[in-house]
Amino acid sequence: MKKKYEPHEPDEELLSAAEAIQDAKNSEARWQRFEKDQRICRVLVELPEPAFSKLEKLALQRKRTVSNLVEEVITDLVDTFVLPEEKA
Amino acid sequence: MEYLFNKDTMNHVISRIVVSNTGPMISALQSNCMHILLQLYDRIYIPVDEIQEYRKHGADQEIGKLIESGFIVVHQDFVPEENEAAKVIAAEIADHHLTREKNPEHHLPEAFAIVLMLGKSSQAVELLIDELAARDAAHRRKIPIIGFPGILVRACWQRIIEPEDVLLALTECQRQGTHYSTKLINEVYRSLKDSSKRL
Repeated sequence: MKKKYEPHEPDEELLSAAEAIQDAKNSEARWQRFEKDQRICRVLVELPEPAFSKLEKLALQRKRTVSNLVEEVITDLVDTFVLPEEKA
Repeated sequence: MEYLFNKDTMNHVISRIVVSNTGPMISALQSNCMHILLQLYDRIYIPVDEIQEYRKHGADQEIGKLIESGFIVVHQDFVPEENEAAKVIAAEIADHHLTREKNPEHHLPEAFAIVLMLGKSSQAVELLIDELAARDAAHRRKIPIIGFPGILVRACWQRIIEPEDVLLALTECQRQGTHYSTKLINEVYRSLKDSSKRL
C-alpha cells in the first residue's frame, strides 16, 4: 500500500494555475541563464527502464544525482577520448 | 567505474542548488515525484526548523535517507542577525491577509528558508515554496521562487514526465489533503495538453 503523508499547512492558501505556469516560465529562464553562465549545454537522455532506476539507485548510493552521474560519465569520456585526438 | 568519483572528477561537476520549504518536499513525497527533484537539482538546502515538520508529516525517514545521501543538506548554523531576520519575516507572514495561522512561531521554517536564500554565500538559484503569504514575503525580497506545480510543469516541458503524470501527481497530493485546488489541477493539465499539441 502506498504510504500517505500528512499535508503541509492544509489551511493556508496555495498558488493558482497561472502562478504555477509563470513559476515554471521564470524558473526555466533562470536555469537557462545559469547554464549559459556556467557554459553548459542541456542534453536530453532517454533511458529505458530498468536502466534509469538502477542509475538512480547507484546515484543515491554514491551521494550523487542522476544528472551528476551522467554529466561525470560524459565529461570523462570527452576527456579520455576526444581531447587526446584534438591535442594530436 | 570507481574512478569517476574521485576528487579531481568532482571538481568540474556543476551544482544546481536550491532551497526548499517543507510544502514542495511533502508534495513530492505524496505524489511519488522525488525522482523529478533528483533530476532537476543536485542539492537542496533546508533550514533545521523544517526537520520537526517532516517528522510531523510522517516523512522523517524518507527525508533522513535523502540527507544521508547528501541530496538534502540541513543548515543549522544561523548567526544572531539571521535569527532576528527570520523572526521579522515570520511575523510578516503571520500578519499577511492570506495567512490563517497567526502565530509567527509557526512560520519560522519558511522564514528561515527565505533567510537561507538571502545569505551572501548562498549559491541557491531558487526557493521552492507553495504558500501564498510566504511567496509574497520572498517576492518582496526579490527572491526567485517556484512552487511544486511549477516544478511539475518544468519537468513536463523537459519531457521528464507527461501532462497525465502532472494531473495524477497533483490529484494525489490533493487526495492526501494538500490544498491544490481542482481548478489549479485542471487548468495546469489543460495548459500542458494544449502546449503539447502545438509541439
